[in-house]
Amino acid sequence: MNDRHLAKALSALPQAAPEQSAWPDIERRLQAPSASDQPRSSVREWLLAGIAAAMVGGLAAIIVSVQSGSATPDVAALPEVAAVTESGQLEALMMRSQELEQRLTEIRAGNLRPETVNELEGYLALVDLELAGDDDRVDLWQQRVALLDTLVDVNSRLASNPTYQL
Amino acid sequence: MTAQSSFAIEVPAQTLDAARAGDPAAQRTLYELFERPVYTLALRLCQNADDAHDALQDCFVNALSRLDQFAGDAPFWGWLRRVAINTTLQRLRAGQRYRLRVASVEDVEVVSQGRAETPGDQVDLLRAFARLSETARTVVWLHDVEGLKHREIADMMDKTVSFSKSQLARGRSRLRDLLDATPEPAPCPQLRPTA
Repeated sequence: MNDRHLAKALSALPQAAPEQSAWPDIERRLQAPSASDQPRSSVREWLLAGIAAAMVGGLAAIIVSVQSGSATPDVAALPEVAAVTESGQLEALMMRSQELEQRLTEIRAGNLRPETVNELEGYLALVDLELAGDDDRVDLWQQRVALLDTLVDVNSRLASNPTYQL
Repeated sequence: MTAQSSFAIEVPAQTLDAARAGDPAAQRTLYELFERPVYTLALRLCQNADDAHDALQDCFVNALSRLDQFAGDAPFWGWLRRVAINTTLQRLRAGQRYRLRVASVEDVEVVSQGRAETPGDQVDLLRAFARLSETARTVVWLHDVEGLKHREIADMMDKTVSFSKSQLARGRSRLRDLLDATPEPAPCPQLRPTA
């Protein structure tokens, strides 16, 4: 089978369709009210937003502290993070959180502080608290894995560098 | 070399205008028009129904909430396809950091699930395609099925043109090897007329 035939065969594969329409979830996400409009009964969503906000703020603080080496990181130094945190939009926060996780991975060559471990463990505890009530949230599991991944990395680097003191 | 992309669906300007203005009915029309192309793209690249479903959701949330960024100087489907590809690649990149994903038998079954009408050779092709590396699969699909140029693929994947070309060559070669290795179905026993 030459390249042309291969491409033609791939193009001729049948289209797939989801077992269930994604539209109801898309519509709900599009119409999600802003934080100030959310009903009081939406405690769970608030909790999730709080966790996400804490993680975004915390991870941003870690990044800032790693990059600057300062003892008291300033989250406000990242204006886009501050804006997102104020909005309270869960989706935006989680998206931002993912971006921050990516940045964390990218700055692995930077200096780390022992306090970073405590901060990360604090956020891990928050995620575990939420997972205790709903253990099938893929996004929360992803956050947990991300935090554990970072923790393993941070601990390994702290342990291998004699200049750090735990 | 390729047939027209399954995304190539013309959308009436009034539908786009209404969707841009926030009309739920028009937005739903866009979803229904492009549900299958977006989901198929995501499923072929992710090889996992759950990830594909999530990518489908993310794609439309991203696209419909940013419709004002669609300039209108090119077909809407091209813009939406770019959003779909970027959304799917973002999901793949996120997954790569946390898990080493190997195409499993179960995933392949998901790919062909509910497609009783799918001919056997297409099932073989789906199985072989699922066994390509994530990167090769992405390049082969975007180039051979969606008709993207190497420059476009390289930009989307944040790689070089040479990378895209080599991945395409390797992916095609691997695909051919896998298809060649597919065992032929056992021949039916010959029926002989009884004396």
